[in-house]
Amino acid sequence: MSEQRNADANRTIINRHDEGTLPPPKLEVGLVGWLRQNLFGSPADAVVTILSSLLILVLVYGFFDWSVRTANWFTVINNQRLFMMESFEPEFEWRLALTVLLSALLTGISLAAWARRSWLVLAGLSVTLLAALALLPPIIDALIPQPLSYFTAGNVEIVDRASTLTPQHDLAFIAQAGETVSLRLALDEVADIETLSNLAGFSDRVANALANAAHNRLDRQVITGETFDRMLSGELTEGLEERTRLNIRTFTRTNDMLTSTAQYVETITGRLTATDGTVAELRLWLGRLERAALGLDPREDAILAAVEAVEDGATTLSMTDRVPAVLHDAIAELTARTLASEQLEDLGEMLILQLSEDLIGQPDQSNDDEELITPLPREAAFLRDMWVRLLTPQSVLDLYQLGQTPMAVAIRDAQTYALLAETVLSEASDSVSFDVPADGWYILSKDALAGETGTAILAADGIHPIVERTLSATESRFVRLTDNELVISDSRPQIDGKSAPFVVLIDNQFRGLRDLKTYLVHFIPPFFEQAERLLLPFFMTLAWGFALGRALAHMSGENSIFNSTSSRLSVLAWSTTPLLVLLAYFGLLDGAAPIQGAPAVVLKIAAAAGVVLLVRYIEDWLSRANPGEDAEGSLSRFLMYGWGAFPFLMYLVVSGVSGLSGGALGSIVGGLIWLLLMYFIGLNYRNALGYALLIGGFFAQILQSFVVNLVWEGWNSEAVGAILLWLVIAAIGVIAGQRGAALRGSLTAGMKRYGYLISCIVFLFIFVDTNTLADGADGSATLLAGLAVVFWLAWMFFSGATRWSSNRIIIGLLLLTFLWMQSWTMVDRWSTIYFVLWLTAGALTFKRGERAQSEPYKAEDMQRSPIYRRYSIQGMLAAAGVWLAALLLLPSLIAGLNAQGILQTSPQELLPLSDKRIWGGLMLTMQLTILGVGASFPIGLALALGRRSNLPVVKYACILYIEVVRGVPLITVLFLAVLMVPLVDPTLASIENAVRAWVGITLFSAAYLAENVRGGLQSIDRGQTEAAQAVGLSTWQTTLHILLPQALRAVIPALVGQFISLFKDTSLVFIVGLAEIVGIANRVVAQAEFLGRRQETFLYVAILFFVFSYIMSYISRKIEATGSGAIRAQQL
Amino acid sequence: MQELNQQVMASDEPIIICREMNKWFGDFHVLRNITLEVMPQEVLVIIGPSGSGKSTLIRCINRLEEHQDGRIVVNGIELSHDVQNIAEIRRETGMVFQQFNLFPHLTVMDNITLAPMKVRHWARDKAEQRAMELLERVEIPEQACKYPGQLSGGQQQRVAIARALAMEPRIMLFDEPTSALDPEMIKEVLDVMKELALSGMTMLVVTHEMGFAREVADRVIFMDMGRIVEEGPPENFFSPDIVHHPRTQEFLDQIL
Ligand SMILES: Nc1ncnc2c1ncn2[C@@H]1O[C@H](COP(=O)(O)OP(=O)(O)O)[C@@H](O)[C@H]1O
Ligand SMILES: [Mg+2]
Repeated sequence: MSEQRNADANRTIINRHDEGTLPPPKLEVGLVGWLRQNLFGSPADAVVTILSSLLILVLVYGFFDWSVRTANWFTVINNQRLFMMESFEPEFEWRLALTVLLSALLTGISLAAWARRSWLVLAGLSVTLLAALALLPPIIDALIPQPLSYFTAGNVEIVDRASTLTPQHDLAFIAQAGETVSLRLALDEVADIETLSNLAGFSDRVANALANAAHNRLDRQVITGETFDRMLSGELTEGLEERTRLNIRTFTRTNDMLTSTAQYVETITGRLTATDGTVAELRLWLGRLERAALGLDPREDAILAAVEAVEDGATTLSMTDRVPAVLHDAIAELTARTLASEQLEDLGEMLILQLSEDLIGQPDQSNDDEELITPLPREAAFLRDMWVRLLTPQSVLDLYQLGQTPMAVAIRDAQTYALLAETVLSEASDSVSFDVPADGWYILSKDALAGETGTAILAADGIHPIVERTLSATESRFVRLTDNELVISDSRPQIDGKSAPFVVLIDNQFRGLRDLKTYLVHFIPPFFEQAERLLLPFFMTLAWGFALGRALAHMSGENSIFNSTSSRLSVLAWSTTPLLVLLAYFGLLDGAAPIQGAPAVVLKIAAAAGVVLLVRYIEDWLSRANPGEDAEGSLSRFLMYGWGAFPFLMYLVVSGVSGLSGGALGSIVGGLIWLLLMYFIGLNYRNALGYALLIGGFFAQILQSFVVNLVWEGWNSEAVGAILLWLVIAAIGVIAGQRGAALRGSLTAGMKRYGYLISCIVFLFIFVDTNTLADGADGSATLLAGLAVVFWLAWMFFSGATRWSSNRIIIGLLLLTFLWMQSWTMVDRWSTIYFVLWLTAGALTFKRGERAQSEPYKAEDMQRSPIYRRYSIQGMLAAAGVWLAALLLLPSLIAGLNAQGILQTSPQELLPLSDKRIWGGLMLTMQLTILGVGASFPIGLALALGRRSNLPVVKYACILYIEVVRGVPLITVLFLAVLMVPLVDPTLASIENAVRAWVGITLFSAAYLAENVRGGLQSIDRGQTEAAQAVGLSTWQTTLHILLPQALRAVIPALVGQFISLFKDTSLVFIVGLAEIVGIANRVVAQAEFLGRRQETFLYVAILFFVFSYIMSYISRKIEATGSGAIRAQQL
Repeated sequence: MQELNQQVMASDEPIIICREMNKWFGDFHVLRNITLEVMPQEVLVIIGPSGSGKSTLIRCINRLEEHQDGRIVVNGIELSHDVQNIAEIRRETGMVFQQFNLFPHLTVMDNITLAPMKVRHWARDKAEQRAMELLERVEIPEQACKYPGQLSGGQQQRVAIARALAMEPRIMLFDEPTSALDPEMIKEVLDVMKELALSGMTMLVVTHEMGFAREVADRVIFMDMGRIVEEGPPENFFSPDIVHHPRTQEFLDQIL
């Protein structure tokens, strides 16, 4: 054995040659390597790659082509406000703006926490975006001239579909100082139907109708001619042929036709007497003429005699011979007699009838016998011409006497109607030019000269369509479409006491195909202008949030700014600079700003670049100063609170709990202070002062409402009753808790369980019965409240609350507050209450912050356990608590703010939740989503836990609920909520549809959520429960601290999937009459201007849905990678 | 060392008493007429073939399993259906599992402090201070901020021991604490357990580590088919001179 091993050792080979390391082959790494591996790895791969690139190319090309050449993007651009907020009161728009900006701020801070290393990407994107926003429109304006506009003048009535139009005499337009307006007759454009039909550019309704008519006429002409030709060659299908026969029969009876009989007769005679007519043709024609003359009453004997004379002369001739000269006189005689006939029109009608019957066979013959008699070629040609002319509308050029009359045009002052420029246009070379002296409205007057009739199309340079943006029922704003939506005027000029008409945008401006140039000029400037107005503030705030986030992170770090005045100042200074830049930026946008034009653009870019550089600088500085994890931790905690508080705050802002008075400012300021408060709670949770603050806040709130009740309402039985009731409830709560504690030792588990059930039932009865005491009218609110209290009491009882642990107290107080609010009716109280609450909380927080300055965290403390890990559970719970609070508050907002609220304060001052205008557009979609997610989450959680309960009643109730709801389509639930609920109880009909839809969506989504959560709960190893029990955690604690966190983390993708589908499913509410985005889209495509523009509209809707869905799934991925998920990400 | 232990084991009241205890899983009689007394500060090692009911026995002691017949009294408290009693017993007994069963979503520190804070209502400061002491005792203070997923098996098991100790139990139950570990990690866990035994903790240990049993145990129990087949001091158990029960002999032959 040992010999063997020695022998092996002798044979050991040692490689002493060191090859060194080599770089991998070039073709295996980098882009080429990636391509080779991923796209061309195998022959099959290559084929798939090539085919799919082709497919993509085709699709992309098709889309690009459509988008540039035919799409009308004004459908989206013009209806942006509708899409975003439907008919939201413009007065309250700032609330939405504030909400969006706040969310941008929070998003920015979040990015600072999550994506801080990708500042380069962020910076690159922002610069590109801002540069594009700022640069593209002016470049386009400078490089590509605006297209001409066309207006009609004159006094001829023009028929367009069912209505008649006359060119307007006066037309208002908006111009800016320094621009030149010039006008000429558009003679080239109306030279023939083809050019008229291709009239491109903006035009007034009349010009547009003319071009339409020309276009239609050309079309009809071609189609009619083709049909006739195909009939002659026997190509028509049976159905079409039948219709064609009918057409021909009809046209032969048309008077219009008959005016040409004489011409026809002459044509035929002319042909026959010329050298190329044959005897056969002569016979045919004579026969018809004879029959026609015989058919008339009285008979045309003169014609018949002349026919006989010609026939006599032709008897000896063979059919193929040419008509000899000897007969010419006789034929001329016949022609003269025919033309002299008194009954020429009747004769002509009969002639053509015969002709057409020859062509199509006898009308009363059966189909089988029918045969086509091919008419003589010239007859056919004649017939074709006549037919085409009869079946196509008369040429617009002739009909409306286009371009035949000189036109008098004038430009006038809009206020005084004084003449500024004037001329008469009659030649192509005539034109008038006018240099605009000042910004504002002008009037273009145009008319035919006195005594003349006719129409003309004028080509104008410098006059562009105007869009009227409705601000409210009485207010409008007027913007020029093509030049970056420069706002010129709020009021429309008057002529003779009536509002002057102006050029509006008509949908089918772009008949035929548009070129890229026109596309750019028409759409890019307004689009970018809109993007700039909508997105730029958002991005700027985002950037500011980003900087703020880094500053916050730094603040709570070890090198805390609390420790140094100079660093504190610099952080403040740096983090407020973007705001200043923002202000400066918008200062520049203002029309009254001293800097305009190119310098303003340069400044804009500089400002944008400045923000980006600043963010970069702060980022750099902070990462040098504060490399530890602690800052990040406190930041994520801040975010947790911030986002948790956000829905509530947003609600305060959007629905305007406190109206427009000082209270609104109060609730916003208060909301912001609240955010700060939450932050410091996180920071100083250690000594539970945070909880004390919360409790104090709620106590203050309750106290406040006592005072309010007494001062405003005076002592009345209701107020006293309500106060007493809640005092009794509180007392019962305390007693129940103590009884529970005393009994605890001597009761068996079974007894406790039954006691708990019995107490629930008893309290339920008490509350159903006593609801009149509380708020009289609305029993359901009290019922809810009662349930909540029962829940609280049961909890106190069950847990034997000898220790007033802060959690229980908080929940209890929340419930009490909720109850209390049930008895409020006046909206104004809200503002005062919130104001006081926020101020108190803010003051207390500030004090605490000051104290924090003097006691920085110990370094060893930090090393041992970075804050964010230490507090992550608490943070999560606190955020959940905030959500819960927000949700508890919402129903009372809804209940408290309906009819009573409106009755007691004037409607202008507040926008109650029950107002339909709050619920519309993207806003409605977002509200339904956020509130739906927020409300269905706790319900779903409760259902999932309930399904695992040991109490059979609870368990089967949950199962029943989940299975029933999952077995019903959402649409049915919505119908039930919106249509059926009022049948159950008519008083419920007063609840706004949207609220009922929200409840429906919530209940629906909760069932699915419950199943997802249950899946997560089931995926957890039994060992977890055992370990938790072994260390002594109770069932509830195990669920709360061990099972739920793991279960939820495991099902984040499924949950977010559920939320995304909820988001998309909100579009169903349009079926129950709510105008969320899809509803709005349907409304947009019904607008006269954008009739049927479905592609553009729904493409935009799709993009909106995609953007938000993607954001949601992005956030979910980020959440997955936090906490213990971070190590999973590392390990992968 | 052995003598020292014997000396310390002076207290006369048994801390765990099982009397004629029986348990069934359905029809399967898994624990048969178990009678057992454990004195405070005693280290009891339970050995036996797989499926003999060792785990079930110690899980009955902290009520992770319910017994159906007979009595179990732990620390003077009768194990019954009373929820309150169960909670109290669980507070007094710590348990270490074969599969560690750490809470993966919490850091090491949170794993340890959770129960003291929630069950014993300690302030966080106190809980964390205690946790740090325990982590130092199991020699991994530097891992406090990591998540269980970032630790090796041996480290995880030591955290599990610290977690159990954080509740300051009077009794520790170990269910094959080293069976899921790689050989080089077994020693670090056993060292911690030895140190614990020396400090006077009452321990019930299910293990196949005969070296540990020989060195640390005060008493060894051999179980087979749900019965206690043989019981005695370790020196007797591992001495070749003693005549064992045939099942014991068979087991010892296989394992040694
Ligand atoms: N929850 C259970 N249900 C049914 N049988 C079980 C259960 N747990 C353990 N057993 C059975 O009880 C017997 C004893 O198991 P256990 O105490 O785990 O044995 P040991 O730990 O000695 O290997 C085994 O036969 C096992 O299959
Ligand atoms: Mg076992």
